Amino acid sequence: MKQDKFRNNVLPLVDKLFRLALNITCNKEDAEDVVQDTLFNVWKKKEDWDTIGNMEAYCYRSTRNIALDKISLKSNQHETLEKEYDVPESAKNAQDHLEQKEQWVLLESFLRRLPEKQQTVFQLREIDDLSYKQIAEIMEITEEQVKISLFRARQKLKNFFEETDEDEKRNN
Amino acid sequence: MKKEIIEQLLERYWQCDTSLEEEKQLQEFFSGNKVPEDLKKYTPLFQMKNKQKAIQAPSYLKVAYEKTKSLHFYQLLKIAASFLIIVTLGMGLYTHYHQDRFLDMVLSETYNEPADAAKHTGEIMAKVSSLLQLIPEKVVTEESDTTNIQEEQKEVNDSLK
Repeated sequence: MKQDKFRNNVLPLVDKLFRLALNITCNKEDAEDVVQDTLFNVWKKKEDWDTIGNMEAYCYRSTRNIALDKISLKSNQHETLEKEYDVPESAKNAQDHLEQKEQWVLLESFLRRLPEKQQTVFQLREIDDLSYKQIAEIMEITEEQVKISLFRARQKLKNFFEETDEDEKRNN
Repeated sequence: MKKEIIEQLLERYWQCDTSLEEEKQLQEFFSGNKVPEDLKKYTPLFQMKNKQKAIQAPSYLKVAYEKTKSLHFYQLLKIAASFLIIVTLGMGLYTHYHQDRFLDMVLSETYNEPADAAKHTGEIMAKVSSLLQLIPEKVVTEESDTTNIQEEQKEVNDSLK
């Protein structure tokens, strides 16, 4: 019975959990470790599954916390506190004569420099199609805070694209 | 979808006023071939979902946890292997630093007096000879001295001539 529930409710989340872990740790091996630890912890708590409620949110939350613990032991490129992001000069200059692949690289590089909270909210919304309520439950914040983080991330993205466009026009 | 509608959706998107369904419409639009030139710069953003969904966890993560008991076993195996390595290293270090005592144990069976060593040697030789059936078995007792042993050895040599 427990194995069935694990197989049906938890295993299908492995890809999503892996992407979330990868996004936070920026390291494939660390992401794999994070997911392994998450699944092991979930299974250890099988006697308490009835009290958990939303298993998906629990797994996401567990993955995020383990990933954050992992990167806190290493020097990382994320800030756990909110901070303003300034487009680095090197990124602006590299936008000349862009091909699509370079655009992807720049965009992904930009997203990785967002504060972890904004990045996680962005990923859960844009990639995993979660509602504000679901994201709030995973991150243990209010829906309003979810919306604020997402708003900040999208505004930065909007500025990023506008500046990219201006640089291209200037160089052309 | 008309460009004006897309631009309105985009504005609401930046303000986080779009629903999941509307955001899906934006993703579908930017995945198509009819993206206006001035909006093409947003294509990577709205195609990101497809790109990210192509990233999948390694298969061993999904297979291993099909049998969740083996997951726990794997953890125990790692612990047991670590313990075994520590014990082996400990034994090696112990043997290395106590090798003098070890050698003493091996070499402790020796004689303080040369006469005692010679007598013991004679006993062994006599037994060997009896096994070869050259002379009747004669067990050298503790009372025999070195001289007797030498005389008996002479007799063995003479019998072989």
